[in-house]
Order: sequence, then C-alpha cells, then structure tokens
Amino acid sequence: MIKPVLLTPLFVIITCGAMIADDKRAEFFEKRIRPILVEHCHECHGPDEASGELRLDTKAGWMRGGEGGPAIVPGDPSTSLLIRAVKYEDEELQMPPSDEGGKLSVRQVDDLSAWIRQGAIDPRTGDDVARSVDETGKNHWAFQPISPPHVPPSQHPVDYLIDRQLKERGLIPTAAAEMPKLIRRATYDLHGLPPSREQLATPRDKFQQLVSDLLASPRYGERWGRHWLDVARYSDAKDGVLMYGDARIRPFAYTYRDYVVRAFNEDKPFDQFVREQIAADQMDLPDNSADLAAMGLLTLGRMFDGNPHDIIDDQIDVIARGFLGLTAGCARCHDHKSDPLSMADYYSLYGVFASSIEPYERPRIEDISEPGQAYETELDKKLEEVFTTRGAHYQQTLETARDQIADYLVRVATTEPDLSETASFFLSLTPEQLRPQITYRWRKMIARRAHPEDPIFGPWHDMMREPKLRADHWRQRGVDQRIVDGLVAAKPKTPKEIAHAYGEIVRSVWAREKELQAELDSPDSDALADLLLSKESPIWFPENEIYYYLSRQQKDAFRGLVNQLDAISVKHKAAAGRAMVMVDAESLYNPVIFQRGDPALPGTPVLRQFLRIASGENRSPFANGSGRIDLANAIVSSENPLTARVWVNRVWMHHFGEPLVENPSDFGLRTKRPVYHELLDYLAAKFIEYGWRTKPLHELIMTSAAYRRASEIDHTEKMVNQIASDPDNRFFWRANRRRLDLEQMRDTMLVISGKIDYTMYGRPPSITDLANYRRTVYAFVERQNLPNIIQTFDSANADASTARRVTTTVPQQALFAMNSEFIAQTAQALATRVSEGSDAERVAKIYDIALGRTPSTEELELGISFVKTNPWKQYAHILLMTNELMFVD
Amino acid sequence: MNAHSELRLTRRDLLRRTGTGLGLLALPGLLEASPNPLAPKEPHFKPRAKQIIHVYLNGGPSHVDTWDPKPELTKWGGKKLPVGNLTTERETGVALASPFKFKQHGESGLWCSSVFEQTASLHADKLCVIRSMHANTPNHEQSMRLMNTGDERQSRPSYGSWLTYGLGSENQNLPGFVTMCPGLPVADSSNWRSSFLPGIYQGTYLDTRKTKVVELIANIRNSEISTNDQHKQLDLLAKLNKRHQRTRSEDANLEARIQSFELAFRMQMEATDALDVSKETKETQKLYKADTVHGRQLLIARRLVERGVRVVQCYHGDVQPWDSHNDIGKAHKKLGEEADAPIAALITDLKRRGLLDDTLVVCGGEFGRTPAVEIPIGSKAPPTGRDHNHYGFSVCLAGGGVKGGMAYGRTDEFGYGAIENPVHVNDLHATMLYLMGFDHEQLTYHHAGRDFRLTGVAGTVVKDVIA
Repeated sequence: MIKPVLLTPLFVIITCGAMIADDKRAEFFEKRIRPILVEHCHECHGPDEASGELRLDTKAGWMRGGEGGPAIVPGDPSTSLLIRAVKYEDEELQMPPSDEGGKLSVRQVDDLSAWIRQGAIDPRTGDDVARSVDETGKNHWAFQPISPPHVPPSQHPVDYLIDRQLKERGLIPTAAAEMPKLIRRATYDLHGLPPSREQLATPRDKFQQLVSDLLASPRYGERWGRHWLDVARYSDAKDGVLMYGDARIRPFAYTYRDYVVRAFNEDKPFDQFVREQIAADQMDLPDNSADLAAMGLLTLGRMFDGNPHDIIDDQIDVIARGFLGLTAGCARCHDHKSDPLSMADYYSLYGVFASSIEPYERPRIEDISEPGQAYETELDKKLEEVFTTRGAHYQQTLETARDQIADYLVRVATTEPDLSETASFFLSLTPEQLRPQITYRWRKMIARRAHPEDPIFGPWHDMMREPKLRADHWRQRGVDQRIVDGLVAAKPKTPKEIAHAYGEIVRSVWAREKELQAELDSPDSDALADLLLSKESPIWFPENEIYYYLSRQQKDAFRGLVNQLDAISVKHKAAAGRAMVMVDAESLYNPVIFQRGDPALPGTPVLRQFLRIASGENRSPFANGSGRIDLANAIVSSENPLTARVWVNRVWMHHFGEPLVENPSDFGLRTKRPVYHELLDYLAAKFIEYGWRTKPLHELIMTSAAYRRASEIDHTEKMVNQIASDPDNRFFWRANRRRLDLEQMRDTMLVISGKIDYTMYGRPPSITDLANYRRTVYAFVERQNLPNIIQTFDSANADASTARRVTTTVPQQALFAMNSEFIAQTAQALATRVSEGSDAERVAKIYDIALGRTPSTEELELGISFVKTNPWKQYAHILLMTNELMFVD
Repeated sequence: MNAHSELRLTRRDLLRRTGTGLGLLALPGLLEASPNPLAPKEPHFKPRAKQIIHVYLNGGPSHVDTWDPKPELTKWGGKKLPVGNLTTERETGVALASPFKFKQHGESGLWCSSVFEQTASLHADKLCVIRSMHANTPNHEQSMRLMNTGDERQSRPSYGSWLTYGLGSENQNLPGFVTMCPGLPVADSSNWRSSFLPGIYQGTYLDTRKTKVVELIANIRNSEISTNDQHKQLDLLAKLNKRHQRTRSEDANLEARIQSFELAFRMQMEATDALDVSKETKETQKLYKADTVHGRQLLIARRLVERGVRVVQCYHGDVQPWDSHNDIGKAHKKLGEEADAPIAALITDLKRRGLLDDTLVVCGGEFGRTPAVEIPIGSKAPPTGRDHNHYGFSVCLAGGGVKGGMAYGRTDEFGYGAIENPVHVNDLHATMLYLMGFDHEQLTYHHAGRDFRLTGVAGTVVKDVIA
C-alpha cells in the first residue's frame, strides 16, 4: 500500500489547503501523476488524436473533458470519469484499453485517486484545443447582435427589402390579389375563420382598417394563441399508465390555454410573456393573479413515468427551442455536436428546474362561485390529508433508514451495486427492504471517504484491506475516539463484521443523541450523529421526493391520495380555476454534470446560469432562488439576439406559410443564414421598438405589398420559367396557397352550419362531441389515444414542442370529409339554412355561405341538375368537400 | 434516405396518368410540393422480408416455461438458487421448476414446452428462437415502449412507424401499419405512435373487441348515403375541383387532394374487405380458430399483409394478459391454448400461400419471467408465480429471411440472464430493419436539432440468425 505524501486531514485541505500545501501537491503531481499521464494517456489523448474528444496533456483538457463530460472532479475520485475508467468499473469505459497496455497498477490507480481527492492540482498550462464549433459559433449569424438595415422612409420597409432581392434575381412579383381573396386570407390568418359578408365588402383602401379591426377582435387571440400552444406542447391530458377516463385529465391545464389566448388579445409584451411563463411566481403579481397560470408552460408537459430527469429535460427543451431556437437538449449526454452548447450549459439550466417544484396546493385565480364552494371545502380537507400523510411517511422513512444503518453498510461492504440503485425503475418494495437510492448514496459516501486520512472512515479503509486493529495509529491520526473504541470492542474480521460494527457504533451514538435531543433543545453538532441526521447524510432526501421511497402498498395508497386532488377538481365542474405553478424548492439543487447524461454518474459541479453563447460579456450566476426569474430575464435581455428573431420568424411563417429562417426552432449552426437576413433583423428591431408587441408587427407585415400579392400566376412564358426556377417561392414573389389546418377546417364548418358558439375560456369540451360548437382551440387536447380527427389532420404533437406542423394529404382526410358524422351534420345544417326559395336561389345561397361568392352560370346549372335527383343535404355536402373551401389563395 | 426524388417521380407519374397535364405540369421541379407520404419507396438494399406480423404476447411470457428449457431449474426446484436472485420489480424466493413438459420437435430437435406444442410440432424447422434477449428494466410500461419504439420513456416513433416512413405503403387503399388488440395493452398508443414523424405513420389501431367490420376503421362507411349516390357526389365534386384548378394548374397540392378522394372511395371497399374474415373458407377459419379473437386477429393480419400492409401487430389482449404473477402453471396453460393454434395456423397458412418467405413473423413479449418464485406481498398462500425478468428472455422468429430450426444465444443454467450472444431489444430492431432492407443507422429523421433513429445510439444486426 502506498504511503500518502500528505497526511493532512481532509478538512484542513478543504479549508486552507491552498496556503500550506500547494507546492507539495505540485511536487506530487510531478513525481507521481505526470509520468502516468505521459506514459499511458498522451498517445491517444494528446494533440494528435484527442480520442473521444478528450485531452489529458493540459489541465484545460481534462477540465472540459471529452464526450462524456469533464474527466476529473477535483476532490472526488469516486465520481471522476478518469478513475472509473482506470479502475475498469464500467464495461464500456476501460482505460488504458487492453490492447494499449491494459490496466494500470493498483499503486498508479491509488496515486491518481489521491491526487484527485486532494484537489487535482495541475500546474500544466496550455489551452485545450477549443472545439471547432465554439470557434465557428462565435461568427454564426444568429448569435450576432441584431443589426437592422437602413430603409428609406418613403418605402414600405418589407417591400424595400424584398423587392431589392427580387430585382437582383430577376424575379417578377405577382399582381396584387383580388380583394375577396386578400380579405379571406386576412381573416384566416388573424382569426382562423372565413370572412363575413360585411368583411368581404371591404374596399381596397380600407384594408388597413380591416386589419386593425381583426386584431381588435377576441377571435385573434384564439387563432394566434393556438400557434403558441403548438410551441408550448399544450395538452389537457396526462400520459402514462392508467391514464384513462377522468384520471387522464389535468383539470386546470385550461388556465394556461386561457392565459395564452388572453395574452395575445391584450397584446401582452412578449418579454413579459416570457417572464411570466417561466417565473410568474417571482414577479410580485397580485395574489390570485390570472397570470400565474402562465407557468403551465413548465408544468403541463409529459410525465415520463415520473422520471424527474426527463421532466426537466422536457422543460429545458421547450424553453430552449421555443424561445431561443436552440436545441439545448442535445447537450444532455455530450457537448452539442454542431452548436456551441456544452454539457455545462445544459446542467446549468438543469439546476434551475431541479430547484423548482410543482406544489400540491395551487393558487386559486378565479373567484369562488356559489356552487364552487363545496370544492374549496373538499380540497382543503384533502390537501391537509396529503400533507399529513406525506409528513408521516417522510419521518418514518428517515427513521427506519437510520435504524437500518448497519444493514446498509453491510450491503455496501459485501455487494456490488445492482441495477435498482442506479437505473430509475419502479420497484415494488416491502416496508423492510433497504431503499436502493439510500444504499447507493451510502456507497458513494464511503467510496469518497474510505481513505486513510478520514477521521471516521479511515479505519474502514485500513481494515477492509487488512482486518487488523491499529488503535494507537488511528488515535494518532485523529480518528473519532468512539470509532476506535467500538472497533476494538467488536474485533471484526470480515467485511461484513467491519461494516456491521460501524453501523452499530453510529446507531448507538444516534440513539443517545435522540435521548439528549428529548432533553435539550439545541444539541451540538456531532460528526457521527451527523452521518444520520444532517442534510449531507446519505439517508437524507427532500420531503417532496418521498414517493420514490415508499413501499408498494404505501406508494399505491399515497398516489391514490394525491390523484384525488385532481379527481375532485375534475368532479367539481364549478370549481374556481387554479394555476399550475412552479415554486422554488425549499432546498435549492446545486447542479453537477451527469456524465454521459447518466444521473448515476454525477461529475463536475456547475453554476445555475445562462447559456454561454447567448449571454453577453458579463455572464454571472443566477442570484435569485432557483434562478427562474434570472433565466427569464436573460432570455429577453438586450444582450441576447435570439429571442426577438425567433419570435418574428414564427410570426412571419404564420402569415406567409413559410418562415424566413428555415428551422423556426433551431437557429443553430446547421441553419443557414436566411436569404432575407436583413428583413429578419429589421422586423426584430422594430418588434423590440414596439415594446415587444406583436400586433403592430402584424400590421407592418400585412400592409406590405408582399403580403397582398396574388397566389395565382399568369401562365406567360416568363412566369412559367420563373416558377420553374423558384418552385418553392423562396423569395416571396407571390403568396403561398395554403390548406386549412385542423382548427380552421373545423371552425369553418361550425360557421357554415350557423351554429358556432363563441363562448371563450374554461374547461375543455370534447372535440368528438357533436353538440360541441365551440371553437377548436377550446377542445380537450389529448395526449394518448388521439381522436381520429386529430391524427388525420396533422394536428400538433403534444409530446414535444412543435415548430411547424407537417401538412399531409391522405385518403383518411377524404374519408372524414365523405363519411364523418361531423361533416354530415354540417351539411344538414347548411341545407336547412337554405330551405327557402327557388332551386337557383338556394344553390346561390349555399355558395354564398360556404364559399362567400355567387356561383357561375355553369356552377349554378350543375347544382340545379344535381338536386333534381338528389337531396339538398348531399349537394351541400359536396360544397364542403371542395378544394376551394379547403384552400386559401 | 432521400425520400424526395422518389416522391417526385411518383407524383409526376400520378399526374400524367390522370391526364391533368396542362402544359405546366411537365416542368421539372414543380411537383415536389406535396409528397404523398405513403407513396411506396425503395429500402436501402434488397430486403429479405416485405412485411412483418408481430404476435405480441403482452405481459411477459415466461421463457423458462416455453422456449428455454432449464433442467437445472427443475433440479433446484424449491431450493434457493446457488447463484442468488437478480433484482427485479418484486422480491423473489426459491427456484420454481417449470410445471410444463418440454419436448424436442422437428428434424432440428428444437425444444419447446407444451404451451406452444402445436406451433413447435408443425413448424419447429421454420422457427428461430432467440433465447438471449434482454431489455433494460423489469417494468411493463417501459419495456413495452422499448420493444416498440426503442426507448423506454421518451416519445419516439414505433418501429412500425419507422418502417412505414421508410417504405411508404404498397397499397394506397390501406394504412401501412396496423395494430390490433382486444382492448389496449399497457402504455397503449405510445406503443404504435409516430411521435415526431408525421401523424400518418402512426399505427392504425383496431379494437378487435368490435366484431363488425365497418366499426373497426373510422369513417370507412357512410351510414346514410348509398355507394351509388356517393359516386355521384364525387363526380360533381371532381367537376367543381377541376374548375377551381384551371387557374391554379401548377399547384400539385390541389391535385393531390383530388386524388385522395378517389383513393378514399376505393379504400372504403378494400379496407372493409381486408378485415372481413368471413370471406375465408370454412377450413381456413377453422384452422385459425377464427371464432376466437386471437384467431381472428391473425387471420386479419394475413389478409392485410397479403394486400401490401407493411407491419401488423396483434396484441394478445387488454392490459397485460401474459403477466402470470400467480399460478403460472394454470395461467400460462390457458394463454397457450388461446395463442398456440392461431400461431401455428398463421405459419401454415403463410407457407401454403407462398407468403412465409416474405413475411417476418415475430412472436414474443416485452420481457420474460424470473426462474425464482415471486413472493407475493401480504399473502399467506404458497407462491406459484414468477416476477418480471428483463435480464433474459426468448423471442421466436419465423419466415422473412431468418434461419429455421434454430435456437440462438443462451441464458444461464437457470434462465435468469442472457450470457451467450446476448441480443438487446435494440439489436432485434436493427435485425428487423435489416431484414426489411434498411441499415438501421441510415434510416433517420431530423427533429429538434438531431437525426433520430429507431435504435438510438445502439443496435447491432444479428447476422447469425439470417438465412
């Protein structure tokens, strides 16, 4: 066994090691560590190869680490990837590889461990070769400050910037759209609805007024709110096992949907919209403010069978892609392959959400109605039951685990870690079984502390190697007297006996402490008792995680109890709405990088702070609690050019059918600088100048000639060639014809039937209920077992943030049009609306209601001849299936 | 893969055929605007199998009671296993000898218990039993998703969706991927979801508790309008659409939607026909036991693959029928009686119709069961069941380019874990894709900043089982 160079007890090193021992530790590095690295590591992990992107020839190299994250965690050999590798602990990671000299000697491994434990002092300088994406990333267009071009005041800025390009490329724009077509485009764009007869009569010079009117209508928020709900992966449903019927309902998800609709109608500044969705709880809003519901963005994602890492990953993903256009989720297991996003960035954000919890008690944001009172009473009672039960389970679980310390230590000393300790899966435990998470934490603590200098586990280390009592030696080292005495008394021989003896010693100290505590109010801290009592104890965990520690029966019962909170909320239809908030956890979580994304491999600590690439010069750690409000502020900071660009690009996309930046939720390095980059920056700057308001942005865009162009082309040779050279209309020389999406289609049918119900907000009705005439945005959004209409019409997938819906054309859509009860019902209603007059008048009326125009002579004749032999309902049905109805020019 | 070039051709062909070439349509590059996502596509290389039928014995059939005989387990029955038990969802105790008799079958001498006696006795030499399957966790929902989507918890497309995305549909009148279950298996639609792939690649789910054919597919019939009247409706619709199209002739999306109505009209006939097992001979119906839901499902499956459907899954039943925590002798016997004859019939039928070589039959569950007995919590009755076991289990393959009469890989002497030639679920997926003509590393889809694939970052094709 090696004789450690430094005998200083660990705590001394931590507190003042830098003053007394630096040169000694540097010497240790030179004598013992550098030779190992040079001889066994540099060949593959040096400047020539950097295998696995890891370099070990500079300090910066191991600090940044390779594909799996930093290689060394100073102070903690047991979690350092380097040590795991040289110990061959992991089948997939064994270094040096057997064909390159194989395993290091025990002494070399011990040296490396000692060096890391003592802080991994490394005098070597020299840069790690920065990842090339970090370098190129600096110059990537999307990360540059927004720089709007100069636009002559006499021209419409959108047209000035577009027409320049068209001219340069020799592209001729189409003529202005005919008014009825333009009006129809505008109402579908802003409201998702067909134009009324009055709207259709708008003269050309009143178009701007029409746009203003449309923006002032509450129908606007219903349309544009839905666009945001796609990004927010909104759903009213839970997912996972046993999520059927009422159990699948998230009773208050709708409060988020309503918040979004309202935010658009009120033209809430987008920066405030961002802040509220991430940290409304920290914005000094009035109690019971409806804006608290904004945090539904964080709380209504998928449930991932209760796996917290996946839930946080989903929160990071929706925020990074939704607001910033960054695919930060890619940095969960390794540094982003193509963007300057590191694992450290990812876990910085992870720390923010791991420090936040969703409380059982949600703030009420609506007034209590008379019939809603019963709910409040029942809820209060149920909440109390939940808290009491949870508290009791928590105390009992901790107490049992303290009592079982000897069993835990024996398990650690005599077995290898098994799957249940590291993988997250559902174990059906009996009350007596050891809790795998606690076993695992004991393992980690002992791996960290079982070394000769430790005042408690020093003898453990010694005796596990050679079961010899060395009382004097230990006393000299400053080992806790009670450990020495206990071991001397027990005379353990085998690992099992040693572990057991340790357990008994600690347990008896704790038992005595308990008695003392009963007598004295403020016990002094005791290092041994702290092994069981402090927050650093392997036994300790936050109370809100208690569920994962329960036995099968307790778990089922407790889950049942918690589910009742939602069940009674579902049952009481008149219940006042409550916001699905997050709040900061009582104890904040200090993030570490999970090597290879595996929570069982905690590595280097990182700070809760913003992504480096989107921060300005002076990035500082988040200072307020979990950091959610700091995160929100960073997202809308003027230092960060992404947020405004990403949003105006989405707005543009919904107006033109195509975005300016091709991947609306990925502005990373693989997304090329858009051809209309200047236009994008102009709009982004203007948007900020408007106070982050979207409505003026709509007006700016919709008053341009570009927006008002026809989608049809003259079939002249010139245009035929033009369409061949730019078939995708990348340069916006004409309008894109678009098919109605799910919501537009269904809402249009409701308008045509004359039955549409414009009631806003509230609990979601079913989309398959034929008596539901409300706008589609209010219909229950499923997550599992999607209704046919949702699947068939390319609805947004609520499993993850949707940047852009796909548009498919499949026979199932036609089957819906031909055979569904919904369309049949609409056809019936339309036929009923035109039951008066001559055949010609009735045909004309159907055209007016369904298509907003008068039929041509030929169309009129076709209609009259059809209804001679067929029912009116079947004729009305045909009009509902036409391309003219389903496409917007 | 490059879907675009093929789609462009198909669209162009389609338009040429329907004679709407208004001059403009012949221009190159115009027609890629609206790819038909189900147009047939070529795989990466020549496939061994053209379709898959997955007989999904959901709940976790016990390998040591079916395909993986363990004489040592019998010897140690009632005693603690000398190697100790592995951690599974519940506490387990002593070794539980299999209550079933094992026999060798066929020229190959493939072992099988009485649970699948008919299948083995008739087809042993066509079967390839992978005895060394393993998964990640001993819980149903995660393992079900793993077996179907390659991932336990994340939202990922099912292998059927991947294959439909890669291959399109041979038959435009039917969905490319159909999944049947009397009720819903654990983790329900996440088993056949398309996730970030376009929704049209999602498995079409048929609840086979319904016995009326027209109730099985949404909107497949109009209950009020006769076929003849509907034809008249569509004729007029076509005329109106053509008028609308005159000034918009360059827009392929309009034409695509027009076509979709013609397809839908034909689909009404063909889809219901495909599901109607009464059109089979009495002999065939009897062979499959088509009067039971299990027989009917497999018979429908054969009718579907015959018509070009790529992937058909038949789940044994609601929730997790093969989950025999208690009295496994009785439970597995009954389940075998339900499943065995239809499976044997399916292989017989595929063989005699010359379909077996093109059809990969996969038969198995999401994991196996523990060799040791499960200790029921809070019950005094003597334990008679087995817990979930993901460390080792068996999946049986047939047809579609796999070797016959073969037992591949091995679990330890008691059947706890795969120890020889272990095959992870990702490897099985890689192999299935390979048999269908795909390199699993190349069949990718770009989403959220990354190229995703069925096998994540893992998966190795098990070449040894390929004929």
